[in-house]
Order: sequence, then C-alpha cells, then structure tokens
Amino acid sequence: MSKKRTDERPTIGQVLDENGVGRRRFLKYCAGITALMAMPPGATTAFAQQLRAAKRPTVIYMPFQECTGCLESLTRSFAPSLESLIFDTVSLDYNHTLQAAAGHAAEEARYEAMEAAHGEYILIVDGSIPTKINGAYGTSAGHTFVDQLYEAAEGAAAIVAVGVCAAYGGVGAAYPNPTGAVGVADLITDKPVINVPGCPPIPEVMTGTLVSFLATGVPELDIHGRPKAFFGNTIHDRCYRRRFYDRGLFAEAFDDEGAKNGWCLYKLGCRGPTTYNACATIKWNGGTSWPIEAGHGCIGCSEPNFWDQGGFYEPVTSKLFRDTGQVAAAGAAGVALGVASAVAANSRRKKLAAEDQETSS
Amino acid sequence: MSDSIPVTVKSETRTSSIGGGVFAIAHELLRHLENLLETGETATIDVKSLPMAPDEFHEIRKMLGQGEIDLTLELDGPTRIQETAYGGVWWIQHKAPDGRILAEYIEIARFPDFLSAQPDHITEAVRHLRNRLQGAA
Repeated sequence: MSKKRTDERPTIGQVLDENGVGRRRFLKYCAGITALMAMPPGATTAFAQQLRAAKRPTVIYMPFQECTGCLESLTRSFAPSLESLIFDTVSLDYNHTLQAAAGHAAEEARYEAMEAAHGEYILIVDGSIPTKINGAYGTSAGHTFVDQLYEAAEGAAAIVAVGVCAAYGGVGAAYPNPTGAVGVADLITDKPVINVPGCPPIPEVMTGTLVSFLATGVPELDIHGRPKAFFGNTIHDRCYRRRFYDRGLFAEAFDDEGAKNGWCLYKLGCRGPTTYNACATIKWNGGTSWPIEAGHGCIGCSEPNFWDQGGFYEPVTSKLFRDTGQVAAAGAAGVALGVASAVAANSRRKKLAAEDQETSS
Repeated sequence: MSDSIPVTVKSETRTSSIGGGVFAIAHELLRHLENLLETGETATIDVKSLPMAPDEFHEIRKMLGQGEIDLTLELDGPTRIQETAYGGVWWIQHKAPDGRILAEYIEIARFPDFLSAQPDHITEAVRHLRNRLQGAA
C-alpha cells in the first residue's frame, strides 16, 4: 500500500519505461482512449505526451449503497483494461471488493493511502448515499456512508461518481426513496465531481474518464456533471437506426416485420432521443453489440431520475399525447423530443411529489 | 445459434453501388485528399465513431481497396496499416491480443503519423547517443 507522497511517485512514463513498454505500444494504448473519447485522432500524440508526464496517482474506491454492478462492469473494460490501469497508470490503494485485505487491515490501508496522498488522490464513489435518520441506513466499519464520504472527499483532488446511483441517487433514490438516497454532488460541493452514470456505466467510459483526467484534468462537463466527450450526444443522434426514424419506419411490436427489419424502436419505448450516453459508438462487451443492436430500446439509464420516468415500453412522449395516433404523428414529424420528454419527466416528478405529500399528510 | 433468431439488421435501401453512409464518407475523403494535395494538411476519420450498420463498415473497406503497402506490427496485439487503392488514404486498425478492435481510423496523409518518431522519442535518442559517444571518447 501507499508509503510515498504523491509528488515522489514516478510519472506514468517512468513506470512504462521501467516495464519496457515501448513508445508505439503506448501510443496505441492512447489511440484506443482518444477514439473512445471521440477526440480527433490527430490529438493522440499530444494526449500520449501529456499522459506520460502525469504522476501515477493514488485511487481510493469507496462503495456505498450499491449492487457491485458498476465494479463488475469496470473489471470488464477492454481498452484500457482495469489491469493495465492498475499496473501502468494508477495505484489502486483501496477497493474492499478487489483487495486481499479485509476488516481493520483494509481500513488502515485506506487511511494510510489517504494521508500519504492527501489533496492529490482520486476518489471513486460507487453507489448512492442514504441520508435519512442521520445516515443510519448505510454503515461500514462503524461509520455511516455519509461520514465516510465527507472524510474521504476532504483530501481528494477530484471525485468520480461511477454509476447512476453515485451520480444522481439511482434506484435507491427512486420513489418513494425510503433511505433518503442522494448522489455525491448533492453532498460534496467544494470538490470537482465527475459523474459517469449508467446502470452500469460502459466500462471503457469509466476507465477512459480516469485516464483522461490524468492527462488533461477535469474534463468539460455537461449540466448533469457528465464528461461531454462521452455524454455529448444522445443515443438517438448516434444510432444506426436513426435513418428509419427519419423516414417514419418504426417497429410496433418486438416480433413484427418492423422489428425484424431493424427499424426504429421509438414506439416501443426507446429513450434514445432523451438519453445522453456513448452506447451507440463504444458499444458493450468490447464493442460486440449494444441494446438497440440487440433489438431492445434504450432505457435511459444514464439520465437523472430514470427509474421514475414511466414505463420502459411507452414512447417518451406518451404522457403528452393522449392517443397513439398523436404519438405516431409526433414520431414521424420529428418533434423536439428533448423538450417534450423534459416536460413529461417534470410532470411525472410533480405527480410523484404530490403523491408523496398525500402519503405523508 | 444466431441463425435461428429471425431478426436481421438492414441497411438503408441503396440506389447506387455506393450506400448512403459510405457515399457521405467517400465525399469527405475526396475533400481531405484535395486538401492534402493543395496544402499538405493531413486528416483522420475515426471509423468506429461513425453511426453505421455493421455491413456498412465492410462496404467502406471494400470500396477503398488495397494499395501496395500492408504492414502488421505486433504491439500488444496486431496493428495493421494498409495503404488503400487511393494514394494518401491509409486504413489503420489497432487490435488487442484477443483480436478485439481498439481503434480504427482512416488517415489521409503522405505517411501515417503512427509510424513517425515522436519528438520526445527523438529527444531521448539524442540523449542516449550523446552519452554513448561521450562514454566512448
């Protein structure tokens, strides 16, 4: 575990040289990352130089109210792989699921790492943070998750909230949110918080965000705190089925001719038009496929409050239009879906809030 | 097993020998090639970032054809650099050891940047050679 202060740590370039990793091998590694981030391919060389010069940082990974799905996803990152990250790029000093140490030994290792790299480590948070009854719904090693988050965040250079739960509360915060679950940025406001939402997030988006942070610092974020490099486009904008939407060709059922022909899944509830994520380009399982290519619509898992935005099989505008004829017309006309669904989501939230008030009164 | 699933993904109906997405990329390539000729400016297109149906990737590759150079480097998995039938247009594919494609792009340049020695590499070479000569003196 960590003994050195961060400024005494070697640069990533030094670690690579010590391990005999050649320049072009590293350039190839960076080409994979810049491609992931939709950076201009010509930027790869500059990116590689910046990354080589970066210090190898300490990473503390804190799991809270979570299902371990995000970590399962992270361990399946192909490029960059988690192994290549740990051995070449970062020093993962605490993750109680992956590390061999347990109990007091693990907690001591965390405190030691946090002290040694105070002010400079990257904190990864997985899972939402329950806040009701003073945080008693979630405890570990005798401390509430709330206290553990504040303590770990205090010495962090930046926090990466992986998964929709750490980012926005996720399933824990879904109505009626019995534990008062919130995301990291709801509690920590004095540190950069980079949200990498998804249920789970695409593994390469998690590892790519970490590597890009090392090379270039906190990336440009959207209004929901997500790196624009990965969350800058809607699924719909980058979907290969978009051409069928534009031509008004929709699957009406999962077993009809439209579905067999690979037409647009909008009428079957696809949330691609209102969901920002990189599934359409990076895909899953090492680029093998992704939900829409497999024949199922996007469920919008990288968006705030996605569990409370209605059924997965209703068109995103269904709450605005009373009959399916109007929905079909909206789809064919290519209405401003982002605005429409935002209104729909808002009305849904108001309805839930009203129900909540009725329940509590 | 996939043969038993009655689902097919169709590309847009084609009205010519070059499909819609491929046609657009071909035009983009032409513009970059003209620019390379006139100004020497290079360009790169990330193939994986293009929203196309799976068969369209094959169509683009087929359209570009094969030139004289076909080079494979072993760098934690194969990296293949192919000159296409169009001079100045290179197809570059980086693969992981298990065959997964890490990055794939079309580079419009006289020579692929990946093969060029980078400034920090040359700096290191100068230092190394200088030390060696000084040691020999």
